[in-house]
Amino acid sequence: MFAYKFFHDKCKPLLSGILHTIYGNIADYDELVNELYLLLKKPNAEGDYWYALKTFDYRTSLFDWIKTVAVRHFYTPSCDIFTIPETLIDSGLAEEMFSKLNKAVYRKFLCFKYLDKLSDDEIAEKLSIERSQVPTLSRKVIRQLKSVIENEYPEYLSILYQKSDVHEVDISDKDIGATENDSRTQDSHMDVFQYLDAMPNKYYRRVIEALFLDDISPEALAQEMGTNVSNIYNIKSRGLDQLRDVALYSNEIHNLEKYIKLIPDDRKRAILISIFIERRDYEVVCSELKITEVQFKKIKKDAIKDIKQLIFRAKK
Amino acid sequence: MNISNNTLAAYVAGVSTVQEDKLVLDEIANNDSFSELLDVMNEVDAIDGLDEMRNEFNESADDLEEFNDYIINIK
Repeated sequence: MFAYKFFHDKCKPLLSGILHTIYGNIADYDELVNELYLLLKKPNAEGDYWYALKTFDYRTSLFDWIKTVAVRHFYTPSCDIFTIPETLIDSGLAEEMFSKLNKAVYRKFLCFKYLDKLSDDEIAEKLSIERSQVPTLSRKVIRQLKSVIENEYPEYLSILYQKSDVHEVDISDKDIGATENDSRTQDSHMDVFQYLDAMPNKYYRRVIEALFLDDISPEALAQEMGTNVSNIYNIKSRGLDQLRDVALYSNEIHNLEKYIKLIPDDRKRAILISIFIERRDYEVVCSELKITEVQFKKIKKDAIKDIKQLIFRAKK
Repeated sequence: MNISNNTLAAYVAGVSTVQEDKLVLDEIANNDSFSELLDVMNEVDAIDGLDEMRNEFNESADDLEEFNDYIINIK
């Protein structure tokens, strides 16, 4: 309890600043801090809890160490968040979006990078900046462009910014209360229930349903399920991850198994088959492959990247 | 990326060894994502009032007493 209070209360000013720097105003503070708490609490192979925290070597203050760990954990490279489909470039829409940015250097950067496909060295030369300044500029531009897309092209937000870590599947109450005439909304409800049914872990499904559809508070749900609130947040986070996988891949991509079989790496292939085809519980997959949850997430992320490329190439 | 949290924290706080500095600088030169990460660290360090937060966190005697059990537990 003390450690939980430490992260949620004592570290709040620092972690709020970090989360605001990385995510702006769109992050769920409690959920993210809980994620960090669980990361540090995670046991090692011998079952020894707080393994990550025990690596702290006291050379810096605990404040500076937690700051480093938190930034490292929450930060996602901009190249992993942002992609522009070729169709948007070919149609001229990408150029139109770029033109909405208020700074000339941002517009130029995007044109050089995504339309002219120049290397970072060439971009640095064209913009008369140091090569080392290009990644910083890239991150700022991608963040600025996101505001433009959110305001002026919201329908493209999930296409361009598809891997944001704080993105959550929208299954809020307001959708459930929509009118019967709204067939589009009804379809999306059907999808949500189909996806929920397809989730391999029923425990995760119960938490997602309770929090999003039944509007039960995390505290009440924790009591009902005989666990603590931090565990509920943890299950919610894992559950949304699983629901997103199910929604994005299992039901939408024709011949998914065919593409998975083309992946040469045995572990990646095994993970993809387990979660998308056999729809097995992620914890069981981790146990069978003798990997930690962190390793599982990393391999899954790489495997999904590989399969996206395969599907993209096949469609092209 | 083989740089530990301790090394990175020490580098950012200016207490790293020469060998660690070399490791970090090599990573910056070869890894754009790492370079971006350091930019974010710098942005966080530039947050208004961060030094005050740090001082308050580190110097509050009452609070440090609260951590005693915790520090013993993690050693």
